[in-house]
Amino acid sequence: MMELFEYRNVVIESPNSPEAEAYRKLELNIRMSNIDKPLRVIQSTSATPQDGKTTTAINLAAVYAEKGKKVIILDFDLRRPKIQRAFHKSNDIGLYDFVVNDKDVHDLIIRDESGIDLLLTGHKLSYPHIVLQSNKVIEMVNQLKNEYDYIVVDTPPVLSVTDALVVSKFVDGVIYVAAYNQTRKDNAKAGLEQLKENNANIIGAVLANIDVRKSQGSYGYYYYSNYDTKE
Amino acid sequence: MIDIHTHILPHVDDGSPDMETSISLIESEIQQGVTDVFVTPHFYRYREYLSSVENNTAIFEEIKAEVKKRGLKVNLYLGNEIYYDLDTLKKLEGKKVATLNGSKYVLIEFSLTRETEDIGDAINDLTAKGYVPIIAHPERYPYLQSLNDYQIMRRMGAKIQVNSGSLTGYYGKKIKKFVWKLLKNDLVDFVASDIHDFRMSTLKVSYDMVAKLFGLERANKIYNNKEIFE
Amino acid sequence: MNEFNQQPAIEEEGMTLQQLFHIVWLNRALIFFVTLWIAVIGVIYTYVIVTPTYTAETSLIVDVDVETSGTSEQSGIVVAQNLIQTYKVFLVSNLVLESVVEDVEGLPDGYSLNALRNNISVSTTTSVLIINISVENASPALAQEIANTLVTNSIAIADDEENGFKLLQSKLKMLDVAELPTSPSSPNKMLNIVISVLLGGIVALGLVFVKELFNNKFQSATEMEKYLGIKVIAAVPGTMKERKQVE
Repeated sequence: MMELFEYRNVVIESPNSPEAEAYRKLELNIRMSNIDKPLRVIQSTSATPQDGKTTTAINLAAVYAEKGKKVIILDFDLRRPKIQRAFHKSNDIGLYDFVVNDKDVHDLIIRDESGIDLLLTGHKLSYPHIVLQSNKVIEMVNQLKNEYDYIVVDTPPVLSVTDALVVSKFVDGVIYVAAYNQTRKDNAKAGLEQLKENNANIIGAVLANIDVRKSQGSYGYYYYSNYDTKE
Repeated sequence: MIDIHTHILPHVDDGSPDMETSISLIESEIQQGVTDVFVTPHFYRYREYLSSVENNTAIFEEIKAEVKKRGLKVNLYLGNEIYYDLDTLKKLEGKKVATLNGSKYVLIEFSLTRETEDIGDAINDLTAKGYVPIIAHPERYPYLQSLNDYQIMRRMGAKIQVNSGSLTGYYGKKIKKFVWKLLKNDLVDFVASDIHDFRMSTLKVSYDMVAKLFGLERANKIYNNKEIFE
Repeated sequence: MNEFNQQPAIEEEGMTLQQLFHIVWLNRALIFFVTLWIAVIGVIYTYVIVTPTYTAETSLIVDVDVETSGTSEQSGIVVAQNLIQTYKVFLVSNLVLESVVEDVEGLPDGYSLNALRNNISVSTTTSVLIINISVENASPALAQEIANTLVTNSIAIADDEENGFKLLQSKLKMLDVAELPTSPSSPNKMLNIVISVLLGGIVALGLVFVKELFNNKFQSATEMEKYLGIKVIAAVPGTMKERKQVE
């Protein structure tokens, strides 16, 4: 069974569109949520798969890049990595080589033409949740914190595995994504509860898959996002 | 006709056992109207078909010489049918396995029984590095029996090669029914023989069937796909 | 937890009129089709399934002989009024109905008297000595025949000296003869169509609101905020994954 995963980075592809604006608003609100202590390591997660967390992550990173900031995306969804699909890169080297082969992480980082740096997963790792808790990985992230203005972390859904909860402990904040007319309310709540129990710093929620053009300015009702929106 | 998938190289896999058989197989191809033959021995770790590119090339030169000696009118090219795993990309980059005639086209196959590799990831990784993956006989995989799968694979940049034997029912009724459905929906890029021995000389027969049903133009598009030379 | 983001998790969910209209608008296709289908069913039922019935109307007058009954004209009328109820029952008594069944060819022997009685309606108005009779039947001719036979037979039975119905003898006279009804009295086609459409609309709206009530997916950022209890900091397009491309 084949599944198609296509990720649109509207901030890169159509920077003048209202869709791109929506992501800029996200970045603004993240910044406004804590003016005193800027949030620089931001995790994107959701309750269930295909809720829009990866798309949100890559577009947020693009907003930072567009502002001239140095940004890297860490694909910490070690079980079903998707960042390589989103940027059409080969997933032959990545975190695996850092963890297993002790390679220098800088040799593993891919520079995308959009200005966003990427650390992919590489080969499949066993026990991802253990790897993500290891000092080795946490120190690596702290080191990257000194080298980048922003780090965006893509993680698996909260209800699928514990990886997201593990990661939430060492990031600055978490954005919680749910899809319009798709994510089940009870699942969203359950996932959120788990994050709260783990004392995650939840910056806020993101509603994904809406038609930005039909819902300008209001936070009322929405329509589905039009996949082929022209600028 | 162009046949992009054959096991005519002797000694190295479950195809031709010796030079004589190889020549006979080539003659049978010519007889059916094939003008260009890609010799694609297995590279298959689990079945221990690990013949190196150097080894294959040496044998390939022998065949070319023999063919020239006998004045057989056919063009020969060397490649591999690679059983895809996580090392494939590295091997390709290191020239340890061959693309089709040194082009960007890579003939890859997967398990005939269970879905063991993520085909989507395979296509993504290969196309990201500039290769064009050709999926060998996917109609034979029990986990790829829906039209949607083929739409997706092609959309991701892969090409579909089906076996001529599938069209004639060599692999059974179910696969025959499905492969004709694929043809009807224009989801096939190449038809090849995958010839291991004489039982599989079904190119001409199936070509006629396709020409009859869909017309000569369509038949030529998939039996004589010149894209492979670009 | 960042205090900036905490919203009180409000359990109650009210709805503005605007939201209601929006829901209706979103589901306009469903509403249109459900209403259409129920209306169509109603029309088919009305025009095809239901057998139209015709009503024949006739009437009797209670003719009281002032002289024989007693003292004055007025008391004659009073007597007549009191007896009208008796006449009403008499008209649909088994005796009368049996004779109607016998005489009317269209009614087979053994036709249920109760069934016949159900198709006959007898009515009077206070202080008016006229009894109105309507007979319903799928066949207009039969309705007419039954009505007229009923009246003539009941008068004949009443007047028959052998029966000895002193109360009824020579009192009843036919007033209006039943005419052949030309158009069916039921079903009322127009009314049925209107009812079908209204019913369809009601069912459709009911379906829509049930659907909305059980909808367990987020329809708005406000809904999401309320339900989750955290602030929604962005509403973004996302990607509609195309899983199904063929078939």
